Amino acid sequence: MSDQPNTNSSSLGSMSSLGSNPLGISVKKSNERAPALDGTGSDEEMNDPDTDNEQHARKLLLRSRARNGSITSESGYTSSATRSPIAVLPPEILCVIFSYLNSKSDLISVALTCRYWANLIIELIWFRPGISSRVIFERLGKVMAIPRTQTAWDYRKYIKRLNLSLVPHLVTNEYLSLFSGANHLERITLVNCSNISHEHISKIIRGCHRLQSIDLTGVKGIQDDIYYELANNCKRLQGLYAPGSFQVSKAAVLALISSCPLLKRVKLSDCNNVDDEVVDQLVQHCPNLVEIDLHGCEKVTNKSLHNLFSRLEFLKEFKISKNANISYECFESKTGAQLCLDKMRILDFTQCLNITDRAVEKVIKLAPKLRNVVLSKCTAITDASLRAIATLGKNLHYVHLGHCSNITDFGAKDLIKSCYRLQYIDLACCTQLTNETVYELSQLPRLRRIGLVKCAQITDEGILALANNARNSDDTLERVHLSYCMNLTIYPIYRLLKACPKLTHISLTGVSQFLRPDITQFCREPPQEFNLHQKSIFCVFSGEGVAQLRNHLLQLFETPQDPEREAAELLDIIAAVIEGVDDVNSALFSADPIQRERLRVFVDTLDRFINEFHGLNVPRAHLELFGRCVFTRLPAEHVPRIQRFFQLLQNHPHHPQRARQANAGLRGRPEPRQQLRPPETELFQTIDDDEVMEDL
Amino acid sequence: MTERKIIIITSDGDKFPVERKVAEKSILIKNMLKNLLPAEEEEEDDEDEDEPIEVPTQNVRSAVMKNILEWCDHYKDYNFPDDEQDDDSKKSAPIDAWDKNFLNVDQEMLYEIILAANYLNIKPLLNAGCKVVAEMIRGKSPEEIRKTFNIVNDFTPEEEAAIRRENEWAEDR
Repeated sequence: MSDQPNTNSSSLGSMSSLGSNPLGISVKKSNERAPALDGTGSDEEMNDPDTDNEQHARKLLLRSRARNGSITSESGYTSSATRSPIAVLPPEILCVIFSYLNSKSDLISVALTCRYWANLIIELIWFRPGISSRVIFERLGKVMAIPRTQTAWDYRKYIKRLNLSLVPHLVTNEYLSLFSGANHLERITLVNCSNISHEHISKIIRGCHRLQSIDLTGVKGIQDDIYYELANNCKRLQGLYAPGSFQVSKAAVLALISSCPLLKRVKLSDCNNVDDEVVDQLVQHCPNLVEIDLHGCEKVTNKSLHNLFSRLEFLKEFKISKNANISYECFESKTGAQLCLDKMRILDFTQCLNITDRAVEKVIKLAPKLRNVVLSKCTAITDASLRAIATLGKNLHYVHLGHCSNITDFGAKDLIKSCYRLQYIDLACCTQLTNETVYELSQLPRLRRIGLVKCAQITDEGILALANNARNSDDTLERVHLSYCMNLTIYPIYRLLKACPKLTHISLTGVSQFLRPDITQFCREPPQEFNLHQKSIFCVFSGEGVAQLRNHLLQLFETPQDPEREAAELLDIIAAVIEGVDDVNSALFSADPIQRERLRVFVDTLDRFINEFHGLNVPRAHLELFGRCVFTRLPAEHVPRIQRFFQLLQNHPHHPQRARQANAGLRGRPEPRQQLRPPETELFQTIDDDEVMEDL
Repeated sequence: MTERKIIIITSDGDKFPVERKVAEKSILIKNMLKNLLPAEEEEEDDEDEDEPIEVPTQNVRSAVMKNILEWCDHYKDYNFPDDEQDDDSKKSAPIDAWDKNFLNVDQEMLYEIILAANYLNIKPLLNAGCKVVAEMIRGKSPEEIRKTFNIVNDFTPEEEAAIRRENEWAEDR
């Protein structure tokens, strides 16, 4: 039996096998350069954007440092700390200890303790500078601007991840240039940094042989030079997000593809020069691809896509849009070999007009584990596609079918019933859909977002069903889009807001019931580019606005009002409406006995409410005049007053109205009083017809 | 069939007889035993059956081993999840109260326990130990840290000022 087992002798890996300390990590004069980390310690996982979190990254960093030998077991307390008990701990253990410090100020305190500790921790401070605010951005810029011979360390060498996308509008070419020479960069994220030029991006990339991913989403004017620098320097590139490469030539794209065989994720949206040859090269050179985004690449055809689907075995995510070539044929097996898209999770064919039911049926069969399906503006598809998608069952979490106007309640219900784990569904402009679909949606336990914009057949009953089936504090619903669902009124929305506490976004643009000042005061500012009309009907609430709307509606519907204030308000409204009106053309009433009778009942109701309940003393003649005003067309300025009037009337707890409202809620029926239409419409019919009976 | 006895021998020659599941909290020892005792124990070597297995641990002295084995005994029936996935939650999780009390020893012993846990490959103990030390650093000024760990400041005032100046951008606010 051997004393030494043939296993690692240390839980941190075989540190003991690391050589001597060639790097002089122990003591340095402050104007000496820090040791270069010349190892190749990048973890495969490190580049996976999915694992992008601080703690995990730190662990990997420590691990890679240990492997590189940038930390050695040789003690560095040579001059100062020998009598300190903690000196027995080797550097890799100190690094584990430091990794439990989460606040940057603790890290800095450690850096100020002694040289040895400073050298160990400096990389933890710098490997991923968290540039999350203007203050940090500016302070960091000042340090980077100091000539590198005058700083305690050459910090550029420690930076592995540069993310400027939290302060994109501040980033200039000059600022970006401060990071030239940060050759150990593994990730560059410049999302929405629209003020920087392609030349300066190229300059940063130069020399970054370890670069694994670059995200240029929202960067303007991407040019060939960026692609060539990537091709020449970054052989280990795995992720390229460069939507908006409009001006990039085919030769540049091909150069990059043939130089970067490790590519896993490519986003080449709107690159006009991507054609079948580019896709074929991509498939040939980069067998590890898991994500491909070709939005707006119009030249690609079934030929190269068929090749792609048959050869990229790891493909998880495929997106293409506005491509009229693509059809079921890209999934047809011509050679007899069956395509297998078993790994596929996300599929997006937005606005591919030749994607038909046949294509959808085919691809769903090949890719049974799809999680996200986006077929918006695939206007050819019908309920048959929805039935095919329904077979994905619990795998489906996300479906976008906006503008698929052929689909009906039948298809939608089938899909929703089978895919009970849906979290996101968009059915905008599916104009044939009715409450039937909404009833089915209300059964989904995990739904977080519903898009029903312009599904104008949906009414209060549908929304009430959503509210009635909500699971209160457990409810998951976060975003609801109901713009242009013209028939909706306030009460069901109040119920929905009350039942779904996580609801933080609701859009009701163009829904007339909500376009009144007491409600729109909580709505977001309309986008600048909207015209006057669009601005006037804009009605979207989010975040704090939703909370305010919820509170407001709660107050309207639930708070017992202050009778004195309420009474004063009623008097004000009546006075304002009848002010200056001597008489109302009574032709309407004399000609129509039903209308006359309605007026009488209405005035009776008012009399009881105003004079008996509130104890006011408004002459019957005034009430009569007010009623006549309400029954005939009012000047527009009075509409909000009348609405408020009816709210007061309706909300009053002692008023019989209240009982009706509760019933309406239970029956899932909207409260008719909410539907404030021009007075001579059925509004008062409804009030009178059953009200009279109840009242008497 | 009775379980074979395991005796851990420390660097200073002390012998600790232990249950196998206690000893196996150390992945080092566990792997070692795996090599010595194949899963399907053959009955052939009858004469060996009663021989205790001696496990020498040259790097750990008796006083430390006593503590280590106390920890192992406390957790002998507990299976630590060995997946790396929820590393984050483990990192941010507070120190277990029993561990905290167990590790309430003087600094020399604490570091020796950490070293032994590292050598013996007992990750949960190593992590708990490191967390305790991190706790001793947290929220302290550089001077307080030096005092806590008896570290001599070997920076010149200029160097200290430079480090401060060049790194303060990172401070939380």
